[in-house]
Amino acid sequence: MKLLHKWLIYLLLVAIPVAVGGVWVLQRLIRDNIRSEVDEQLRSDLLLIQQQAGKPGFDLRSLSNLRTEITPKTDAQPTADKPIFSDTVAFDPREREIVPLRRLAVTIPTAPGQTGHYRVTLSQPMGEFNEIIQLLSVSVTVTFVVLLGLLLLLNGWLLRRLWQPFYHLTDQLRAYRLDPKPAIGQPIAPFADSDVTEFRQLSNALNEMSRNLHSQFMAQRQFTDNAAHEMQTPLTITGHELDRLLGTEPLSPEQIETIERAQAGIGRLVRLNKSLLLLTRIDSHQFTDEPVDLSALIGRLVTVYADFAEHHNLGWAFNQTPGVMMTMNPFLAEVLFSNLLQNAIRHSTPQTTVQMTLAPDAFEIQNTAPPLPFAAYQLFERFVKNPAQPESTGLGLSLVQQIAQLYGLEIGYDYADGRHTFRVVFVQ
Amino acid sequence: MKLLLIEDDPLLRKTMQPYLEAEGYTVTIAATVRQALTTAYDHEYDCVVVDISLPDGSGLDVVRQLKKEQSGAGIIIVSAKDSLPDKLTGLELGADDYLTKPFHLPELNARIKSVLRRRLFAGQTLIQFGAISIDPLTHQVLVEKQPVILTEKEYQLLLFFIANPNRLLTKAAIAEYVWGDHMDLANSHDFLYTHIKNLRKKLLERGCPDYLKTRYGVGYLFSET
Repeated sequence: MKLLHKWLIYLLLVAIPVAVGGVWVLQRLIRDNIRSEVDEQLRSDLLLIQQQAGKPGFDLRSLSNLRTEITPKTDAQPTADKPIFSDTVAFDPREREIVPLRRLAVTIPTAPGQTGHYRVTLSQPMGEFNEIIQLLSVSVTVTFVVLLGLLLLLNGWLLRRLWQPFYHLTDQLRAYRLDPKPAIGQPIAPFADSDVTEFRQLSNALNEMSRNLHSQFMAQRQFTDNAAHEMQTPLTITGHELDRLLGTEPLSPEQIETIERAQAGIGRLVRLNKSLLLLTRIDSHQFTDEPVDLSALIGRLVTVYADFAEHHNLGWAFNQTPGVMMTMNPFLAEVLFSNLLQNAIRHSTPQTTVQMTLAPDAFEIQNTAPPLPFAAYQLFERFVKNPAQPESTGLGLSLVQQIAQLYGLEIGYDYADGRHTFRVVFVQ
Repeated sequence: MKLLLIEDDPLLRKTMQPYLEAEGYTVTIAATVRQALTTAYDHEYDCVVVDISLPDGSGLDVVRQLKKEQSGAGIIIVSAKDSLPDKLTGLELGADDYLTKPFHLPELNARIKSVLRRRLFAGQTLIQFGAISIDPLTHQVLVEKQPVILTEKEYQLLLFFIANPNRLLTKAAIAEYVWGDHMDLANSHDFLYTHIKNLRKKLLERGCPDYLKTRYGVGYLFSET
């Protein structure tokens, strides 16, 4: 939900009860005010009548009209001389309908010297006033709604404008890529400054994060480079010394076996180190891409490995499509496909055929071998290997997957009727 | 032949120097870029073996300087970094070869020989070993003046053996020289043995003496005696 919509909802949640309640209160207020005004008017009318009635020679008819009704009463003393107000209705012959009335009823004494008293009833039709109240309420409500609408529109527009730097920052963040070697002129801290304090804080924080990430990244890369150098040299020395030891005379069979085992260990360590460094370098995007002719590359690898396949008594069949191109790093492309080919040779049952197919949109390699000794989902995990082949590094297929991920290629694996199928789909 | 070895690690120098001296080279040592540049300025060398990572700079600077002085020395870069850009930079600067650590000494030796051959004789010379002579330009192999048809891998094997006579060559060293990055498979089983057996058979068929001896089953020895 957009901030604008959320803000709108909150605003309406508050504004609607306020508007409804406000109209109700306003209506009450106006009605009460009008009523008290009317009551006052009635009271002053009554005062006039009382004054007139107190004078000698008072004529009832001079004061009676549509709204004033004075009836002489001859009962004893007036029961009460307090005016009684009441709301009632009466038939209005002119309007020909029932209209609400405000009525004042009181008993007043007659002029001195006369007997009895007067019953006075003063009425004020309220219909007009009610219409005024309604009109007032409606116009106030309409004004409120119109103002609210205008406010919403203005705020929407303002919000969009005010949040522009924010949207710009999120766009930049989305496009952000940790690059070990920023292009010339491209800063490590690329987030734009703003004249709004909040956005400036955000962009400063992002820039700081970017710088931190970059320096951590550089440190990690430095470490990788150093590890490469620092480990390769001792490995070289150990290998040389073992070779030299093997060249000395005389050696007993046990000594030779010992040296050979040490050499095998060194060999494995070298392969492991190389693969791990390669994985790290792929992780940190240290490769540049160019168009690679996959047909030529795979064709060459198929020829290189044909010798090995023959040695393992394997059939080696390749259906190829010429001119399949993809943009990737040529070295990584070679690692990807040579690992798949090596994997097939290493694990195939002798006297079977490895079937490779290169289509314009996919590469497939199929070989016959016993089922996997582990679950299929573990196939691409690092250091998961066939216990029958301890000399394998267990990193070959991890490399395949890592490279595929880097280029958004889909890797599929299938096992049916004793045939393992690996499929690389090019979705570029 | 005079050889300049630029390497900062004393232990590695200790394994490389005697090996190269045993090959008949006069080896001078330099441990830093500064040392290397002074030494190279004072003396002429036939071949320079230079490590890229040196304590006071990059071995590539040495290559750059040597090329600037129009030195005629062959240059082999040794690097711990198996990175293509580094390799390309090195070769673009004018280095003749690029070797990644860890390497086998016989491989370094074979590469030095090949560089020297190209540098000093412009590759025009025939490689002679007993009854075998090889033309490195056409890859033609003659035994007693009769051509022997070898596959590319067999040719590489023979070249490696002849470059390192009278030395024990381990199976790993041979596999790495001939198959390079794809050696993981070559190293296993007796794949290598099959190829060597074929080479030996082809040579013997032409009346070549059997120069190849296996040693303890861990490697091979190529010698005239």
